[in-house]
Amino acid sequence: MQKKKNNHQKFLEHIENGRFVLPYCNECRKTVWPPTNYCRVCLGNLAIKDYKNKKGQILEFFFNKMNHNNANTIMILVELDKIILIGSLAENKKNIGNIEGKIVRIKKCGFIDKKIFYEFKIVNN
Amino acid sequence: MSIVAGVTSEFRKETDNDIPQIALESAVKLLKDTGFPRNLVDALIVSSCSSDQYLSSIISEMLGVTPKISHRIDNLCNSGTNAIISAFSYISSGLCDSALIIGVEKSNTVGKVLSSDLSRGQFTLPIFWGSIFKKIHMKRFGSTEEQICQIPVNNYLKAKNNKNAFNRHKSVNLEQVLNSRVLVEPLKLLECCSICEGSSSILLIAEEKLAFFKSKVISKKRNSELIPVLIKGIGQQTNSASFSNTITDIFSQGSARFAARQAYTMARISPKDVDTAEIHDAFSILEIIGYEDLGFVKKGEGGKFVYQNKISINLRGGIIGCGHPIGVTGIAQTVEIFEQLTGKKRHNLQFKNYPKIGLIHNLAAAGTSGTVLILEINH
Repeated sequence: MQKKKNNHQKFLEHIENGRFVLPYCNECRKTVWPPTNYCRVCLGNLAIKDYKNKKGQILEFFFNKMNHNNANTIMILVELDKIILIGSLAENKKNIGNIEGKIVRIKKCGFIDKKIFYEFKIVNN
Repeated sequence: MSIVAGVTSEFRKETDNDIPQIALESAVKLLKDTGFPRNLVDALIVSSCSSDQYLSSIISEMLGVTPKISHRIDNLCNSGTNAIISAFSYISSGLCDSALIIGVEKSNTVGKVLSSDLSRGQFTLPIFWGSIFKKIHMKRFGSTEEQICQIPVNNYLKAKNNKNAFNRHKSVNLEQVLNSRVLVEPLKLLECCSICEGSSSILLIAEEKLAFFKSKVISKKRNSELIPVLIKGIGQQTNSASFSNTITDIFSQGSARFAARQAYTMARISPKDVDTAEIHDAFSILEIIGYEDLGFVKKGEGGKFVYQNKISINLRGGIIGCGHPIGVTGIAQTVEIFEQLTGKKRHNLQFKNYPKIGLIHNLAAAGTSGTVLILEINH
């Protein structure tokens, strides 16, 4: 018999399959973090749901120079429904200008070197 | 509750020694120097983020100690002060009259990365949140590169006088820090601590049992008398574990801010009474945020406080100068303040010859939890 997966496992499985999901509390009617079986606000049951809005806002951005070969990786702090995630920007231009406040959409998510990643793309609206 | 002895080992790069052997370096020296009878150690608490199992019992056996209470505390970079608080609680409750607390770590510790925090995405190394804190503080409060980069200059200078510091042979000037390699803008290489290996041990006893323990101690070593330093204030706060739930209010409602308030209230003192402090500077910006959270300055004014000369800060060299054996740091910070208050250690750069009140500020995982201890000696 197949074991029922918990929300943490479901979250990881969706992300691994490239499907961007977030934990949602049906009682609070809002997105909450972290992805577990229970809402940290009301202790109600959480559900792992597609992030239908697909959009977030860049709170801050950083040029990541840790990798010598890829000096222009841009790390961004993104707010999505009041959840803040650290992701990367699909565009890797050095002269990208000030992108604080720009709207982004999830482009890709998954695992790289056994680490989860969220990649975003700037959208016009 | 009194601290009566403390010893910190050399902080260094990885060696072949295993965790228990490293732990013994400081613990054996403490027991030998003080002559504290091992049969009177009621509790032995180990602070470490190592993946080794059953550490406290293994170390107890190796030390020839059979404590009533023995366990390990792991709370990432905050482990050391957390272990001291646990020992304090055991003694306060009457379960124990004495406790030996041993912090031990290797540089390859699993505590380096909090991989369970999925909100950090692929950016799991602490350096990423360090850069986020720095950039936001600079933008929001106008702290400058020069102010922030002065922290490593100060702490490397102080580490030169600390024979156990990881960076004791190194000195840096402001220009070198400003021009060091940018890792994640705006954070530079010389603004970051080094994870290293080492151990530190501290002995706590019930205050009312001091005369009894003194009568049992046999030591031929000079300067080994048990001099009590009181733990006057304790504050500890856990706000969250994941970056997502801490970054929203880190500059206004950070865990250390709450912990400081609790500790000052318990000690019945205010920030202006503090003579000397150990502030958690794993990244330079953290020391500046520490000034603010501890109430030495108003929120946002930490940058200017870098040049102050009222409170002696990080005289052993801080975490940047000393290195950061994760589970050891909080204990090593406390040993340092203990040694300053008892006069066992004097520094060229200290502002008061006879400091009376010292403070320890210790954080974990992007400030999701924080601890503040206040120590006092009655001269």
